[in-house]
Parts: sequence; C-alpha cells; structure tokens
Amino acid sequence: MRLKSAAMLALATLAVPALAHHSFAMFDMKKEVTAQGVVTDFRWTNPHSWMHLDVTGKDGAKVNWALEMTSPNNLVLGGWRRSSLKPGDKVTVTYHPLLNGKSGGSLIQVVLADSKTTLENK
Amino acid sequence: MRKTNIKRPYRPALRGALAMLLCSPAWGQQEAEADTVWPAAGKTVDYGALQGLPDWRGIWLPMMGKNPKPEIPRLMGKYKAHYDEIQTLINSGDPEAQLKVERRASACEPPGMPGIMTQPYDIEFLFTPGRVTMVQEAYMQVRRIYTDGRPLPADPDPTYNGVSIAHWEGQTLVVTTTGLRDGGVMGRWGITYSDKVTMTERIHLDPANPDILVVENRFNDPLALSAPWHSTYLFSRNRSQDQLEFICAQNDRNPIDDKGNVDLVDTGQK
Repeated sequence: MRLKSAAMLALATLAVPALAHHSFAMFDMKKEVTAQGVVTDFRWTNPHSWMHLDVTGKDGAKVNWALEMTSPNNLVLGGWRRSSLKPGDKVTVTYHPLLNGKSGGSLIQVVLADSKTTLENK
Repeated sequence: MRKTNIKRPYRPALRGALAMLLCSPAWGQQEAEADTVWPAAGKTVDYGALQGLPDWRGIWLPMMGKNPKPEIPRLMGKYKAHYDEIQTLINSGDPEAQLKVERRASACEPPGMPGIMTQPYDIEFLFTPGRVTMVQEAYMQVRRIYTDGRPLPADPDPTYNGVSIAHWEGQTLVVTTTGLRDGGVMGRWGITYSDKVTMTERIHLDPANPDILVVENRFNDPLALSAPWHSTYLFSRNRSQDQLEFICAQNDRNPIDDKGNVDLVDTGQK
C-alpha cells in the first residue's frame, strides 16, 4: 500500500503535461540515498544540469556518480549559480537512485561541507 | 528556405502579391496592401493600436497545482479506449503508466498544443501589429497567433502547435487553433484529440489580481469528443526576470527507445 501511494505521488507530481523533458520512471522515487563525496564536475547545461562526484564505498573503492538536476533556468530561481559547485568541493548529496543499479540518480539536495549551504533541486 | 515558406495555405494570395511586386517599378512602393491575407505586405502599419491592449509584460510562471480540476472528458472511439487504458494503469498504481502516456521519439521533442502552455517553465507574450507571439522558455518554443483578420486555413497540414488566429474581446484575447496532430495531448492522463479538433482559448488577466493570467480552454472534436471539454490554466507574473536560453540538445543524456523507455546515459564517468 505504501509503495502504491509513493508511486501515485510520483505520478501526480510529475504528471503530463507538467513534464518538460522526460519521465522519472527510471529512478526509484520511493528511495532516498544520502552520501558524501567530492565533486569532480558540474555541468550548467540544458535540458538538465549535472553534478559528478566521487564517492568512496565501505570497501575503499571509489565510484563516480552522476546526478541529474533540473535546468539552469529553474535552478537560478532556487539560488543556484553556475559557480555553485566546483571540482574538489566536499559535499553531502541526497538523491533518488537509478532503478537499473548504475551509478546515477536524480538529485534532491546537496549540502556543501565548507559553507554548510544547502541547495535544493527543484 | 524561402521556398518552403511559400508553400503555405495562403499561397494564391502571396502569388498575387509577388506578381504585383515583380510588375512594380519600385519594391518600396508596391500596392500589396489590398491583400488582406498578408497584412505584413501592406503599405502602412499601425503601432498606435497596440496602446489599447492590456499589460501582459513580464514572464508568466505556471501555477502548477492551482489550476481548477477539469471535468471528466466525454471521449469517443479510440480516444476513449486510450483514456480508459491510462486510467486503469493509474488506478493500479503502476509506475509505468507515465511511460505509456508519454511516448515520444526524443526527450527534446516538444509537446505541442496545449502542452506548450503548461511546461514547468515560464511564458511571455509579445504584441506587434496583427500578431501576438508567445514564447515558451522550455526549448525556446514559439506560438504565432495572428490577429490580423485572416481566416483559418481550410486544410492545414497538422503540426505540433497548429494554426492560431485570434481577436480581442475587450481585454480578452480569444484564440482559435486548428491544424493539430492526431493523438496530441489535450489534457492529463490520456486525454487526446484528433486532427479535427478545434481549440478555443480565452486569455485574460484575473479581474481580482492583474498579476495572474487566466487561460480558459475549450476543445471541440467531432471524432474524439461527444461534448466540448474544458480546462483552465493559471499563471503568475514575474516582472523582474527575463527568459533564459534553453537549448535542449546541449547536453541531452536521456535517449528514448522504441518502447518509450527513457534511459540516463553517461553515468559514472569523469
């Protein structure tokens, strides 16, 4: 029942025709993952901005993750700038992971370790 | 190419204007103003008439979640079957329903009318003599709405945004649109139209709040609807920001396969 509610919420939130670019069916919208990492790249591009970060697992292996955001056009309304993230920044990210298990996801928010600034993806 | 432009429904009228141009000793003194179908070819232009139009300046942000809930459409035939299929999927809680509604060849493919009005980005309006132009920030889409008195074409080629003509009723812009593609999305969750649909929009400021724009839609479709269907969109004004560039192909990492599944590529790469 809980799963159904979450799925329905995702459908209602992302419904046609409010969708601009693609559906979010590839993400596990019921699951939120929080991880710490180091930014390796920040792409201030359309139709989506992207951040890449290295996350070191418990086994010591470093994995590069790609997290999708909305567009710069929407991010600027939430206080983002193209300079908000830069390689080397230590961050804590929360995201919906891909269902296929690949190292990608849809960003929910990022917290910068130095400034404690929180930027939301909405 | 200019040649492509000439292949419009008004070709005979344009041909006449061109003939006049070719026979005229001076291009700047041609007498094409008699051609009411191509007012841009007229000798004079009345910018002063724009002073009587309402103040729609600024960018308009969709008030998602605030729009009145539309009535249940009275669909027919394959359009009802499609709607029923989607409703069944939604009621089952199947997260794949969204994929089955949103079938596009590319994630950068625009939605067409009326989806161009309701993407989660702002729109703006430009008034020029004989025309209202709407620009949607997402994908930088343009709607050309002709207020120059031209008729609707009798047999338009179906397109994403169709052909729109309009007139002003006081401070309300009344837009009629035809020439839309069969299967285009009329409303949420499987409400689609045929290529015979006629859409009417009444666009005006909210009398109680001039920073809210109201778009009242009515759809008539002899193939898809047994009764007109209505919806309303609301927008809030932002006077202090401009539209931004949006090039969808800049970094599109979301290919769609032939089954409608959306992927996310270039993960885990530095």
